[in-house]
Amino acid sequence: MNRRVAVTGIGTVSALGNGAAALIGAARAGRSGIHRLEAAFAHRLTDPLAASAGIDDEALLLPPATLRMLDRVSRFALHSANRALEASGDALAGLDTERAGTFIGTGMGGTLSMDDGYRTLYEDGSDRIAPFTVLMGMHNAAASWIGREHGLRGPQLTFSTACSSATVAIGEAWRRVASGELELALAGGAEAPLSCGSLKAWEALRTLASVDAEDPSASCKPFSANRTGMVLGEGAAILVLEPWERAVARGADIVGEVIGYAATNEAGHVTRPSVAGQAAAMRAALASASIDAGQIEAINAHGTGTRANDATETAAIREVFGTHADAVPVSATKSMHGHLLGAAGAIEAALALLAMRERVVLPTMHLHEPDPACDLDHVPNRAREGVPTRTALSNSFAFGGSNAVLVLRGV
Amino acid sequence: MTTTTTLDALRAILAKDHALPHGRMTPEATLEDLGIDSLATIEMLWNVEAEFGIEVPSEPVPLATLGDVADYVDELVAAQADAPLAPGSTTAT
Repeated sequence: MNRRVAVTGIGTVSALGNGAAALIGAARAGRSGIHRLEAAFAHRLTDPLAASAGIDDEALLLPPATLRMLDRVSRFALHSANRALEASGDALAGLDTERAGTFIGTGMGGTLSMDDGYRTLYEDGSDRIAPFTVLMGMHNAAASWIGREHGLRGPQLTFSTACSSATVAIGEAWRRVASGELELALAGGAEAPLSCGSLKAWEALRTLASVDAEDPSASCKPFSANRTGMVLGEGAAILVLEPWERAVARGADIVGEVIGYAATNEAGHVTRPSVAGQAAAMRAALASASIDAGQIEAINAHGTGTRANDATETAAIREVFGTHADAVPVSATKSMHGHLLGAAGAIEAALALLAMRERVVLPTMHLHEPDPACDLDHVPNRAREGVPTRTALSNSFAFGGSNAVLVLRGV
Repeated sequence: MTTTTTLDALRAILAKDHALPHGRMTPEATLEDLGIDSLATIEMLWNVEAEFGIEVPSEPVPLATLGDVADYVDELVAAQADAPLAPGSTTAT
């Protein structure tokens, strides 16, 4: 690892609006994108909540016959990649495209297309399933379309490690750019999981939040004593990664820098996280960046709002940071954009970078009842403006034990 | 013998899915010239099944022109009208 890696463009789709400016604007204002789900199947859910996103499909500029082959997850991903490259100031110009790669995380891939296909088979009793179901459902579709549309001929990789997928995608891309293997990577994640089938599956696992009767948008309450779970969201976030020297040489608008990453395995319970496992992931990421915990000035927490995660993550941060833990703001932005599963790590890395650039510490919303087991500085309910922060962690801890952490540096 | 009805129905499907102008969709027009590649052909045949209430066999059949497709559809319609679909098969919805 001998090259610095700059982030020179960010494109996002989420319940907080599309694009970096909308995203950081909503998050610093503490605006939640979580709402009561209005879908036709909403009555079948115990707690119909979601953080929905949307794009103008026409902005993808694809012929209708091509657009029909893209599941919602691929449309979100391509939209984000397009915006990220635009923001980068044409980072592809003059590049050997065989040294440009696509690295996308997704937990559920084109699950909406699969769900739709299964519905026609099982509910309608039809023996006919739409002919593009495989192409739309396959997990690598999002990466495929991004790489195809932008002519990237280097590695086109998809990572599916549940809720850490995008963090792994960005980290693995960072390694290849840092090592000199690649000159550019589009890296991030995409998720569009809001089908009846997947919502019922998450509901069955008893991980989803109850509807806050007074304010449904406040239903996800990370680190709060009255937290009841997470809210599924959808969207995508894509970062443009390139060597620092190249970014400077071409006068790019540098958003920040990836300086470390680690992926570790819990090798324990399939869903219940452990303090040791989460701490090990953070320590390994710090080691990869060759910095001490004392240099971390902000954490974008995994912070799902579940009973198990938030208390464990708090304890893990205490174990890694020791006495410094109380000096580090720990923000759970899932309280606003929901849990984007395989895209969560990308939207949260984007927020961590943008927050450093904007000199703001992002809030954990809906935190009105402190939990003694979550006793860090969780930046409750209000952003802190004018706070210079140079180095941050972005945590992603996944079911199945696939933990991953990014170390990010601001500009 | 291709009926005008079959060709018109194919034209309607392709006009809807590929925004093809009516004038280009002559019986002699090749699918390649119309920009209908292998995937688009699969999609077209799927829509044909629904439109004509037939089952298109999965075995590949050489279909070079729009006229070829229309003839093939007419053959299938005639054959399947004589021999009802096997139990479990589903006509178009």
